[in-house]
Amino acid sequence: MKTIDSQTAQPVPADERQRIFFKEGLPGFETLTEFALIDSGQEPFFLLQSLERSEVAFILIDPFLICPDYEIEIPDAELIERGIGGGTQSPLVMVILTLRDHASSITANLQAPLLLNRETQTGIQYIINDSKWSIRYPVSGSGGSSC
Amino acid sequence: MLILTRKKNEEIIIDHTIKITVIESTNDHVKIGIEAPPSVRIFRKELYSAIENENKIAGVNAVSSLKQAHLHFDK
Repeated sequence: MKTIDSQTAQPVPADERQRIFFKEGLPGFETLTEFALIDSGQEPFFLLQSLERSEVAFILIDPFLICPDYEIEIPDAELIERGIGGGTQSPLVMVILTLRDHASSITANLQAPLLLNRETQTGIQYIINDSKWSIRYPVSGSGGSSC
Repeated sequence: MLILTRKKNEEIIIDHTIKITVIESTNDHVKIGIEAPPSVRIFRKELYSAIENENKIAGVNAVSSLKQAHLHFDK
């Protein structure tokens, strides 16, 4: 069986349907374009695992679980232009969690959500120019706040 | 680096499609207007750098921290 080399102790089974292509990479990782969106095995977290550098993986969460009022507005033209507008469904919105100090502090990057199109298997990190949403929205550890 | 001197309302054209206008300049503040195709993404540098830094912290050792994270999230 083909497997993904990941940070997890055991190789993760690779499924073509889990592949997500990030044409632009992600800020800080601009050269990495091939990822797999995999179940972390621990709800409600997902894992976005680089298929090019096994040590690179992001923990993702549905932002609406941590911030029910969360919203982003992106012009359809931009979604299409950036290659994630195709398909019949809206892109999946996920945010990256940052774990610091052995996970005693967890924050979510609400200002730069990931938009994932499962049908076309493409994704982008969308940076919101408005600073209404925090890059380090506290999820746990340093006390919650309303968003 | 190319350095140009521009006065208020003077413009710069980059690559035929990107137009930069000096709208206002007072003391150490410069207000700049940018017209560009939608495919050109424009950010304040400090915002882009902040996202880069956050991604770099978030993208390594993520899995090894996940189990601890789960405990905290379900508190």
